[in-house]
Amino acid sequence: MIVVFILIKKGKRLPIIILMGRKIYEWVAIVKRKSLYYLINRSGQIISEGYQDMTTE
Amino acid sequence: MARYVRFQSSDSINVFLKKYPQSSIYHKAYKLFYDFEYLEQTKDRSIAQYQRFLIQYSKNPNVYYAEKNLFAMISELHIADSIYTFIKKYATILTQQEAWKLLYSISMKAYNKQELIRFLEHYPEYPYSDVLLKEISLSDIQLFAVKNQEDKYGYIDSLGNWKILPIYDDALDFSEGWLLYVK
Repeated sequence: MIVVFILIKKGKRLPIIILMGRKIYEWVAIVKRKSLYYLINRSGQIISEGYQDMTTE
Repeated sequence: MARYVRFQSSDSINVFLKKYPQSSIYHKAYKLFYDFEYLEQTKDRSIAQYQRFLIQYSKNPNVYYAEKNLFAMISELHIADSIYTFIKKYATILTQQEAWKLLYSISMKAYNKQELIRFLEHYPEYPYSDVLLKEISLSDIQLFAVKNQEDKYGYIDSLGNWKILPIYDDALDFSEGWLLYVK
């Protein structure tokens, strides 16, 4: 499964992150560890499951 | 010989319920009474009718549908005051969470610190205020993805302090002004 993360400029769209149907109200970044991609928040907590592949638009 | 009873309105069912409290179909008739009552009182499917139904017929089990329908109609308006009024007057555990999230999402235009503070001041009873307070506290901190000598990525602040330890094989910036969206 390929998960697509789309970067949205704030103010242009709703400031909501929809993660596999789940809405997350915080800023996140994409990180890679042991061949899996994750989302982390600014406290450094991983807030998603690991994905094998990922692309951004 | 089987006997058939045909109900045409909540009034006719009400007459039956009062006349035959020992009837074997009493409970079925009671449910039907509530269904008729709901359909009769919300026949226009208008916001005003659903609002009135929720207030005046709160014992009717179909308030579930009235609340859901009212919320759907209020949501389409995309007006913060209307959503807030809905939360205060009509929302139960059924719709409260979604209503608050909707109010939050339409209230945020620039998604900056001032806007977050203003939102909390305006809606102090927001149930996820802890998340917003955390966002506010983090909004002044800029984090940058940096690679260390072992080729591991972490995040430092503007003073060069590690805020997220370098344990990642790759990392993108928390790009200010951008959010992530999963398709």
